[in-house]
Amino acid sequence: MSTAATLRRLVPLALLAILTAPFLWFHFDTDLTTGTPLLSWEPSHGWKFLKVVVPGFATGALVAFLARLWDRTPRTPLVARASHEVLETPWMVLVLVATLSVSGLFLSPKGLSMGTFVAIYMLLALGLNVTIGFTGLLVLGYSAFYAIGAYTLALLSQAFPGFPVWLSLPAAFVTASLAGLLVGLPCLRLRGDYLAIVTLGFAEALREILRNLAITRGDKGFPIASTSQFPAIGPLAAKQVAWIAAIATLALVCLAVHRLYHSRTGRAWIAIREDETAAAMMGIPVVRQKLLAFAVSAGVGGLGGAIFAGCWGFVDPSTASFEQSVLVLAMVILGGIGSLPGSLLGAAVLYLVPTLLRDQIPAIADYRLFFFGSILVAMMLLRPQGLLGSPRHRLEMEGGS
Amino acid sequence: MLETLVNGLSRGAIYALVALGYTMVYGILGMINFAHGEMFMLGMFASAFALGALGSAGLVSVGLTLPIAILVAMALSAGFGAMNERMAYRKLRGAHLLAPLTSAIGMSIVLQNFVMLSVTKGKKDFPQSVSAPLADTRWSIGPLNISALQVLILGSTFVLMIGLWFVIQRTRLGIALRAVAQDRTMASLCGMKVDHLITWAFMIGSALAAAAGTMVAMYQGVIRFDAGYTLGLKAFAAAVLGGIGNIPGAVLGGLLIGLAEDLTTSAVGADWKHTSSFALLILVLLLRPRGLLGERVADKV
Repeated sequence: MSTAATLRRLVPLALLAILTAPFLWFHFDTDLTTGTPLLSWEPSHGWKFLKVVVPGFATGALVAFLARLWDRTPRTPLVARASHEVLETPWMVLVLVATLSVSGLFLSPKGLSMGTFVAIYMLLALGLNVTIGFTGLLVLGYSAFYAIGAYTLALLSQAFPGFPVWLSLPAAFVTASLAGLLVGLPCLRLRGDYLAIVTLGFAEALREILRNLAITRGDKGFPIASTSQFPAIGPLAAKQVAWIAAIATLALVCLAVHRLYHSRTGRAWIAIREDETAAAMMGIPVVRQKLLAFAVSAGVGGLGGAIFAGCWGFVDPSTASFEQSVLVLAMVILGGIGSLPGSLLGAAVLYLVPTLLRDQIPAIADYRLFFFGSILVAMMLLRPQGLLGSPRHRLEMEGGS
Repeated sequence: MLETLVNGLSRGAIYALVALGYTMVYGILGMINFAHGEMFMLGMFASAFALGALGSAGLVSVGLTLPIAILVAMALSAGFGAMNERMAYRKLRGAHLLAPLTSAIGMSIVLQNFVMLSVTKGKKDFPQSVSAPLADTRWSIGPLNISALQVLILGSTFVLMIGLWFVIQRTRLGIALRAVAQDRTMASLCGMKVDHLITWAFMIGSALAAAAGTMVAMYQGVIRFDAGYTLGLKAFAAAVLGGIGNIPGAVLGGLLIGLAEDLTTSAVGADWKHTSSFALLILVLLLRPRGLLGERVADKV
């Protein structure tokens, strides 16, 4: 490579250094006596930032490099095939659920609640995958349905003291599905980004409504009566019951999603994703199928919300936050859009890695979101099909130019 | 009532300035630049840095420092906009819709947290010596009471929009940009450097957002790393409301959303103003899926 070309490559880096310089190395303040704005040289913030970010990026690059090596060997289809085989034989699922449930009983309370959260996020990722991955509908406000599920349980427990959680779960599924239909019905005429922004607007509006209405108790949040949370049954503590319920629900949803995907409905969804106009020409009832996908996805989100409310015992408007939606979206994308085992893997990785890191190295807790955003960008640039995405999806994501 | 209108208009002018960036990028690339709100936020911080530097150098006169600070903020944000496009979007041209959108969401999180980690987690005071004299000067014209700051916001928005109109309609750059928006392949066949032009679109949009950021920083007196999020969403709503890809539409949408918010505040209460802007957006999209001024485009097969 010629010197000129090397220099040209350095230009963006130099630009980046210049642009970020004021933020990293300087500090602005106001002189309290005269009111004059002042700028001072203050490199400590910048060094602190670089000390965490540079090793972080180096680790990321190393992981990416290793992933490339791993990718050379055809192991990725193996995972997908294994999960397919398991889901095709329901007794295997039953065995898996039983093993997981029993092994959870030996976990510490902290490990148990972490496991429950992983299961909840897996549910959410599966649900969002139905719209984004299977049907190709961009939903950016998925947390709205999660919040609807959580608040359904909370409001039911308030209206009928002692309302059992076992009835709240299906109720949350139904209300969230209905909400999905309600949002979906008018929006499905819109395509792509418009749908994304309307669902996002819906989640934002819902969060504001939850904050302002008297019945949802505003920003302070909503504590749920212990009689409406997961109860202790016999020798099992409440947390263990919640864990088993979460695992069982997850298995049920996995099976349902798997069956749906490989049914006539699933084929219709894929056809809509690939080419909506062509699908309509082939006689697929596009609007009805899209609504179905929307309702299933929203319902699963609501289920996740209800399990969360039932085991955490407290809900607040931040359940409908944009961060929550982006977290679930990132799980789907990291694992591989449209891939069922991918969603499960993405959820586990993106929940466990930051949580464990935060426990081990408290100093980097603040950097969680920064790295999280970097992963999103890097994933899109280097491996848009996600960790376990199919080659077909890869072609689709990279597109033709 | 008249005061509500003026407040709504100046708020709407800010939304309109930010919405222009969304609409320009969408018009050319067909992507939502989710990180655009962060350009607004970076502009807020950049102008504070610039004012600090000028203050340390002994310059304090508002008439001199404010325009310089706005220009510095515009330049820095334009740089960030170009950088952003180069790093996160350029490789994804022609990819599936979801890829650049996700990349943009990631970039938005990165920029926000960069400022949070390198400057401060909490809020920072914007230099009062610049904004206080403007906010305290109030004029009464008949029943109308308006502050110099509001006049500045409305005036500079007007000037910037005229400037943008001139660039788009009358310069070679603008003609080239319009050509790229119309047909990217054809424009590149005619010898236009499409990548450079796209970078220009990002830079212009980011500079406008930074100008809006400086004005909001003066209006509110405090700046935060997450200031770009809500504002970005509303500005995007404004762009969609007016018909995304359509420049007059973005201005109209911005003004309408600003007015709707202030009217809701005075009619129902400030708690509901965020809800009103999204409700307005959803309502308009249901009636006119392409926005108020958007053209109905046949779907490509």
